Amino acid sequence: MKTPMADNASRSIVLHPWRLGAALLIVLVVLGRIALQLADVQLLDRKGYAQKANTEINRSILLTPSRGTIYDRMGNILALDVEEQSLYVEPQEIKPENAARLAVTLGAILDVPSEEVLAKLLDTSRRGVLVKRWLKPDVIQKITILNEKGVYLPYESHRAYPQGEFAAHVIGATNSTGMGIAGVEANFDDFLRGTTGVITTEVDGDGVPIWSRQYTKIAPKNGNVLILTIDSYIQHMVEVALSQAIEQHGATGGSAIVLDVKTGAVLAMASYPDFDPNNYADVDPAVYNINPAVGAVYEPGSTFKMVTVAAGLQAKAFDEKTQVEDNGTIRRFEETLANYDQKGHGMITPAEVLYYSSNIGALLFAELMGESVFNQTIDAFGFGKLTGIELPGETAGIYWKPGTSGYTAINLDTNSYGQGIAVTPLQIARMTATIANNGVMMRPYIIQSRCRNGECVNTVPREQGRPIDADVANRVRQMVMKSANHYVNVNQPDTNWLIPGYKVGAKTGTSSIPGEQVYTNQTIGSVAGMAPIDAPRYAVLVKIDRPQDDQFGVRTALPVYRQIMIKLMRYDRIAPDNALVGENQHPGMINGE
Amino acid sequence: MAIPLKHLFPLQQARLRRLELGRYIKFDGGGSYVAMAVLLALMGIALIAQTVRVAETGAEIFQLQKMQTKLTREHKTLMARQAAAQSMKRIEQYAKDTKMIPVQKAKLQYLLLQNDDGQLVVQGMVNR
Repeated sequence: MKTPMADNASRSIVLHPWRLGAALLIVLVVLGRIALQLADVQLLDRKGYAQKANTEINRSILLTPSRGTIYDRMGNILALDVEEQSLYVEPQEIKPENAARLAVTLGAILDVPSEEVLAKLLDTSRRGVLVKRWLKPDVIQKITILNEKGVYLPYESHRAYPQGEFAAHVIGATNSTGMGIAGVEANFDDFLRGTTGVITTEVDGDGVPIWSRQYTKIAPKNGNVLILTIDSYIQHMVEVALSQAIEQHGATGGSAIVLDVKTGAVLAMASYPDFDPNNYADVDPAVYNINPAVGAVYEPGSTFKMVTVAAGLQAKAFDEKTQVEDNGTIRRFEETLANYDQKGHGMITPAEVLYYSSNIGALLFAELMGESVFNQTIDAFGFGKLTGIELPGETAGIYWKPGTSGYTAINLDTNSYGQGIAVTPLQIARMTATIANNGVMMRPYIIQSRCRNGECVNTVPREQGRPIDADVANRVRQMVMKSANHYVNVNQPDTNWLIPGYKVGAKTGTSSIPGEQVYTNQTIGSVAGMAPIDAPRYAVLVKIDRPQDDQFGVRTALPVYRQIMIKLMRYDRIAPDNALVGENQHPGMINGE
Repeated sequence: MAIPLKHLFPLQQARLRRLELGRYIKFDGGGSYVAMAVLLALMGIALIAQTVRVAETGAEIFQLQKMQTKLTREHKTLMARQAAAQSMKRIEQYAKDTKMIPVQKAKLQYLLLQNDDGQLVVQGMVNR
């Protein structure tokens, strides 16, 4: 009996020719398709495929340069580039069912509305959606712990201002693309920016360059370095004094400037309201776009009387002994012009014009010299022209010269006591520094050095003219010193010193803020002065805008000026003179310390 | 039952085989091909070794560049932190926190040092 197995074994396999033919045909078809594909890849569309392969393998990777660092004169860093992580999401990689939970979690960590995050997570039409830039390390840690798919934390270059609001109006800020938009950052954008480099090489599947392959590299060129003339100690001291006064008087703002009178270097320049350049977008653009110390104008008021007196003495139109009669009010061109309190001081000399801050006296002395001499001196002091400081947005002010459309005959009278003319705080500071520097006017500058590839070029102080002689400057200084001292005790003038132990000059000014037609009842209080009088080193301007509790600069700006000056004297280790001390005064100390 | 015993590798046989070995390495004119094959194999090995070395170096460069980037980042972050720590505002706060006192009346003294010509050469300030 045959077993089934034996039966099967004995059955022969019949291979029909048509089967063989069919198999052969299939093989031929497949081989033909492959041949066609090969022909397409290798011959017909060779370039296209080669290009696709190159695009996939070869990459040009941009090498971002580092923006140049900004230092103060002592080497403290004011602005530098750092790399911080930002949060990006890839919506395609996020499961829709997880999106809501992830949005709530990220929203809580980032302090961003979760609806906003959710919208980004679900926006599958986009790739690499930015959620928030430049996160803090603790936030990064929290997000990393989540270990969520589709969440990425790449590093991005970011401009950092480690000292926050410090000298913000001078330093300025950069926007999210790294472009300077204010201050030195804007004015020296090209210098600081650097040039982007590029590396062209083969990359692996993760996009990482294969360094064993040949590559071409154009190295990035980092931005150049700037060193400012700002002295951190003086700047800080000025900022503190100014901000306290603004708060105390409920003022809307203010500015303060300290100049080195010999060189014109700006040692401090502060203005309020200020801003944090790290978060400049949080404030009104008007705040960071304009540096009020150079870009905002005001009527200088009585501080301008220094120009009037200097002009007359320089032209020899009068001398220290010349007197005019101050009756408190006067009629000119059908207008009544008056002192601030409408009180007269009788026969007064130029020194007493400054001492009593007499508008009528200044007016009469200006008339003595005539409009030609007066306006020549105003022009020589650089009013109505840019100072040339390396800051953006500087304005020239408004000064109508004789013969121009805005000039009328009364301008001579009003300009003599600082009305009808608009100046910047820096222009007044420069004028004061010129008187302090024996009549030599130096260009104010903020950049001490420009450094390229480690080689620094210092700014050379530049003279801008000599509007008055050294002798005239010295005489005006003696006058403003007397003016300064009488502020301490107006009931018993000349018994005290503004800064005990030092000869300090100061002239206050209070100017009404003009409205559309008439002056408003809002004022700007200011002080300009220099010290030490015999060999001045510093010129200081302080301006307080719209103080609410007191109109007069002598009570709003002068205390700030005193604080700044006494600290400058100490900082410069200038010893006080024990002879220059009044009753109940202590050398080198001011009351309230 | 008797078990036939046979030396598996008698010394004599081994010797004969060793003597015959020379026959196998006589290539009868094909020796140059073998040498070339060996040379090519060696070159191949060298190429592989070189490629491995280059790849290793590439990976090493990549790691070093990553480290450089990381260190540069950390350096800049530290510079920013240092600058923040050195800010006058922070220093003033440290001074207050450590109960330092400002200059006070009657405690401030100046040191004036003069040279032989009577010129002031040093001015100092002491808060006693």
